[in-house]
Amino acid sequence: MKYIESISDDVYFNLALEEYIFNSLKDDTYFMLWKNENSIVMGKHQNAYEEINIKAIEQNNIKVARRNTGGGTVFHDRGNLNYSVITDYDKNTFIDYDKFIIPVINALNSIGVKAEKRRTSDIAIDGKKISGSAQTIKGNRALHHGTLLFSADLTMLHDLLKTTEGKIESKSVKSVRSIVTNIREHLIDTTINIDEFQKMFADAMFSDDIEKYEISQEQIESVNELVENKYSKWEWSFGASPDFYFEKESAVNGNAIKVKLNVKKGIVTECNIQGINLTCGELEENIIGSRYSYIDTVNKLKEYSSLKGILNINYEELADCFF
Amino acid sequence: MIKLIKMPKLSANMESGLLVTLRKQNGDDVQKGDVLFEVETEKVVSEIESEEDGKLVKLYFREGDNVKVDEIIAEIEIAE
Repeated sequence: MKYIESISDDVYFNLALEEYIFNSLKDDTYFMLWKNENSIVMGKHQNAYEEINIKAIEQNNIKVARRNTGGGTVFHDRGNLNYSVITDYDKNTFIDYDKFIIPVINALNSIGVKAEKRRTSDIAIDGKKISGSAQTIKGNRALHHGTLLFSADLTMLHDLLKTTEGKIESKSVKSVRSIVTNIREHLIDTTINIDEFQKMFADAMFSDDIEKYEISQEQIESVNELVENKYSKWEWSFGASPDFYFEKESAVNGNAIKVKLNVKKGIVTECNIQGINLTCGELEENIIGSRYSYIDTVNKLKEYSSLKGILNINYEELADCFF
Repeated sequence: MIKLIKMPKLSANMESGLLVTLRKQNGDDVQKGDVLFEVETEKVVSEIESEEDGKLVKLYFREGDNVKVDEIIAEIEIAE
């Protein structure tokens, strides 16, 4: 086994590095530890618009990433440690989470964290989730990765995930919400920081003689290409969302407004607005064909000439009707 | 000869899988090792590869469908 410590805290770089190792380094088992700055990471076949609070994401400039593994949406920040295991897979065997999760639980236990397995792919303390994991399998290689909530901002996690009174219909993979907790709260010494925890965890996982694998400059360039062509692209993080239908009834200044949308690959293909005492055709046409984005919607409403004469109009409140 | 491609049983508890991506469509030529589709179950994305050369002649499901283990997903006409 070889150990890689990521050199970056950029979510796009780290997911690209993981994919690079998965596709290009097949000679050994690789174990990687990595942390990201504030970001949202979705499962491969999720609908971004169904999982995340688009308004909060756009207004706070949070990076949204789509990973190659299955499952649901998670929030990452510098208080969350991620581990990846990239190894051989025998097609004649079943999917196995235990062979990856049990060593992690044992390492946590050895440094005083009373962690235990929960459901198929989670780790919990007193029933509260501290770690979720997911996998992808391609040919004879498997990638398993998981999160370890150490001192993450759990309020931010909550605020950035989707809440809407509207209705969304799609064939996407849905997230399952869990009650979570930070590992640090359960330690005797609660002053330990994430970097110290990372070292303790790595020491507990491996013996001293594990080979540390350094990424070369050439490899970094390949990873950066993958960042540029895939992970940082809107077409991947948002545009790869399954098609969906959205419907929401809202009230603005006592007027009922009903918005219906069809969105394909992140682009609004059909738009129907009812209830504004104005002809909406122009606005609908303006929205059709553009990306389904909160800030863009606000701007389009501002451009819409028929709304300009209305006193005290709150464009954000109106834009909320679309999300 | 027609080869039936069925939903594989990927884990001990698997009853069905989500057919998340169709990489090949009706009428497409396929080669051994080509990815036919992606299946997701228990947070695992798995690429299902073709085991022979031929042509995909029938597709029974659409993207996003939930397919029971052993149900036929597609038919491949094997090249002579």
